[in-house]
Amino acid sequence: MEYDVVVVGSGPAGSVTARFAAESGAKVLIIERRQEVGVPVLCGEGISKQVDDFKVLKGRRWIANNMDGARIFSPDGTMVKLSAEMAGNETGYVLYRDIFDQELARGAARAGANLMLNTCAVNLLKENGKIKGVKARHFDEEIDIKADVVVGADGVESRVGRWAGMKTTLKPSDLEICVQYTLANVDVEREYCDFYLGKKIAPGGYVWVFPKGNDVANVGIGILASLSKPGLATSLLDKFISSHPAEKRRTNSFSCRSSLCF
Amino acid sequence: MGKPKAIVERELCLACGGCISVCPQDAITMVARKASVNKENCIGCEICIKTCPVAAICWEGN
Repeated sequence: MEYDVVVVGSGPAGSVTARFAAESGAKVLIIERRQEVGVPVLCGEGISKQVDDFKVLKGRRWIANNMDGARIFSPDGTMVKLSAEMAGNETGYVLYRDIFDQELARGAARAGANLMLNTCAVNLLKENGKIKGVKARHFDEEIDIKADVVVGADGVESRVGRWAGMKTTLKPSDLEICVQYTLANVDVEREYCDFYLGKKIAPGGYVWVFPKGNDVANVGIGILASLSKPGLATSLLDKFISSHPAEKRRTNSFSCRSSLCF
Repeated sequence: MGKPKAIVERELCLACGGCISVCPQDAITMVARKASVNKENCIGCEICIKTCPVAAICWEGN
């Protein structure tokens, strides 16, 4: 198997890189270890509307909700509203992140890139110390993918970088660890994304409430890994939800997802 | 008895990869879509145990 560019990881960085490489005439392959692009959803369901400027997304199916701004709550409950007029680029979209990632991957495919799912990079191919491609596992089969350029878009736990000799281990003080719920049957019909600050609420981070339309919201927490204890992110998020009436009215039919971001 | 080792409870792991990114020994990898500790490389530093947002990593034997 031979390509000009092989991209490891089909997240936004991988897909957009693949797209531009393919549009420039390169023969491009994206490999993705999961069986479906964008699933399970990790972090990043709230983004700025500046995404429109990049013109890399077709349609609007990836948008769950349009936000007019943000409300920020200090530890004592004081609220500051960042409205659309005041904070131009603070207005944003709440995403269906799985559909968002899939749309970006489709953009790469339309430009001519190939995408292989269920394909996990296991090492780099090297010749005389020079990187010559990627060794990958596709189900039970090991395959060699030769490529002049290898793009490591394999996320926060990047292994491509490590195999290439880069020190990619993060200090806990440089990592936010997150957990989020998608809650149904909650009272969050509003045009603002909410952020709650405070070391008792979320040490070194914040709690977010992103309304996804109707009675659904993405409610999550990020805390600094260096201030974390086992399971602290989950227990603080549960505490937040149980003490906020609007978010509390939930059924048992929520889904739980973990994630992290910087 | 050597130093205690970290172990992942597979049914709790949500495969976010946070533990992989902080492990100073490169001892954690994703195996069949869950984090997995390579005991030979684990030095029992506890960083992954503290980092896990859902308490899916604990000391082996506990």
